[in-house]
Amino acid sequence: MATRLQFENNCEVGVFSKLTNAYCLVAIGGSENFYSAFESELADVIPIVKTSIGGTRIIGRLCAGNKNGLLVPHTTTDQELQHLRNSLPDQVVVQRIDERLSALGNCIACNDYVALAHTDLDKETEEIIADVLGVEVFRQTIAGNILVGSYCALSNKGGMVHPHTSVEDLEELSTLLQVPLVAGTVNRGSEVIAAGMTVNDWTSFCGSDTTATELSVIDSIFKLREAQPSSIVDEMRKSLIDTYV
Amino acid sequence: MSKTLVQPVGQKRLTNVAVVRLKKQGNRFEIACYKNKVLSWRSGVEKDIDEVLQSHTVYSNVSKGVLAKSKDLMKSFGSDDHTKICIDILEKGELQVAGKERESQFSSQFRDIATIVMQKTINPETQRPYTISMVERLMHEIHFAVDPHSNSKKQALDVIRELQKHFPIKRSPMRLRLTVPVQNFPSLLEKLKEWDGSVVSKDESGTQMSTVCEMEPGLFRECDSHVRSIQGRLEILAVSVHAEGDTSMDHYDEHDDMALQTHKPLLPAETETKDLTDPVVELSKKLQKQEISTTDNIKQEGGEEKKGTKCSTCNTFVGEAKQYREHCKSDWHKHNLKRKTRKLPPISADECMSEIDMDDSRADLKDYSF
Repeated sequence: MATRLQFENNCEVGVFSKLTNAYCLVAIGGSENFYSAFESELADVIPIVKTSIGGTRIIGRLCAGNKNGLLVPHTTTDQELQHLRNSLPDQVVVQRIDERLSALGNCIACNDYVALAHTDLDKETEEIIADVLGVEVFRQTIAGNILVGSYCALSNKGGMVHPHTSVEDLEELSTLLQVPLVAGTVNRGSEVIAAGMTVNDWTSFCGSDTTATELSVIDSIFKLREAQPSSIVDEMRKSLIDTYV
Repeated sequence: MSKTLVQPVGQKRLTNVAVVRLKKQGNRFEIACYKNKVLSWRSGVEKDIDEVLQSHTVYSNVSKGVLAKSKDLMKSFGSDDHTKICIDILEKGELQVAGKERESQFSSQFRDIATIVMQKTINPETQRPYTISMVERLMHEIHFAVDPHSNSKKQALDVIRELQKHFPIKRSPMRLRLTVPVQNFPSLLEKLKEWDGSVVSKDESGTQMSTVCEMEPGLFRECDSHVRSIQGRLEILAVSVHAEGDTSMDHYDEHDDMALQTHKPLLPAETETKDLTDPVVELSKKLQKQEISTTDNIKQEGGEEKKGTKCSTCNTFVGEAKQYREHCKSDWHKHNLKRKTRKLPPISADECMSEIDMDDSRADLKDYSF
């Protein structure tokens, strides 16, 4: 079920958080309400890590990750890198990338199997993405926009893309990603999908401006209503054991 | 005592009445009948008098319930037997027919005429009869009106004559067997040619020559009298001849062959053979055209299946999803993607290779200058 919340009166919750199937990152120094909303949904299942990246709180737009790894930009300090490695589960590889396009969250959109990448990323960066995240990398644009990480949100069950994406492009992207896609909006018509929401296989967090109609699209395309505690136990067994130990 | 006593009087009321009235010797007599039953009685369909009469009483005025006087009955009919007098009035009296009854009568006769027309006519092109609904529609188009006093068959013949002016329709021919002495056969053949008949078969046994032919029904009387004058005999094999069965290529091929074989001995038959061949050939050509168009459709469908997935960035067709994913990893696709972001049109694989080489050369030059 999708949850609506805001970070310090800002509805772009995807900018200040990063949610995957193995962990969740939230910005440091925010209001406890923001932190509590994540805790109430995820505390029993996956770790929630308060962190900053390069001294900033816009961590959702600076890092890219899935259940296999986490990529951070070159501006990350050593202390932050060590904190992340200490807090995340052991199988999650934390890797710093020397890439001129340092906003990795805007350049890469990924789930646990496929990633879309910015057309101007270096070839070395592409190889690192494939190795660390364990994904197949495709360079693609979304509705003519090169910032693929901003204009689409992906999970292993579905995806949502820029509202101006044509049906032809939707079919091509769906062929690449092997998940159903829909064109939609968040935060009352905002086409920057990833900034306004963050999602994994069983839950989603959206800005408080998101309308009920937009929420129903999110619920249906990411199959959030079908999520049950039993499926969490079945699919996230490894994370559960790690947490309890 | 009895004068002040009041008793109810029994009444019998008649409903749904059809009145048949008769005037005789200055007096009017009426009987009450059920609707739609008087015509049935007069045409002999209804036999039971009780089904027709609502009461076995003769009235002066049915609506007012005034009975006829016995004296008048005796004077006019010679008896006062009401049932017998009722039957007489039923036979001879005049009846006011209701609107729906009249309408039903007209539609029944209209359909009767249409049935006769259908049985007596064929389509000249296909030699097959028209359907009854088609005949009815044609009759409506020429604004045919039923004459209730005239015979159905007579009206049908008039309708056929009128339809022939507007539509491709004609009388179906009769099939006759004519048996005449051998010495008179040539004159019979000349007559057949004159009547525009077609000879189906010819047979000779002893001194008699027998032939089966088809001809217009209107000429039947003339043919009959001519055959009698040459001491022959005429037999009707079929009143109306028309082709039956479904249309198919084999059927027409066989028909063509049979026509050729059958008509060879006679000179007039050869002329008819040519006439018969032309529509068959035309129909064959039409069928072949249909087959060709079907083939074209099949080819188009096959072509569509082969296309598969299309890459809009490179403006090319790739095979299945797996091949499409391989294509998206290629340098060609990446290069076209960069061009797409710069609003440039896509280029083919060969041009893409040459452009990449050019870019590499420029990079080398930059390194050299640095």
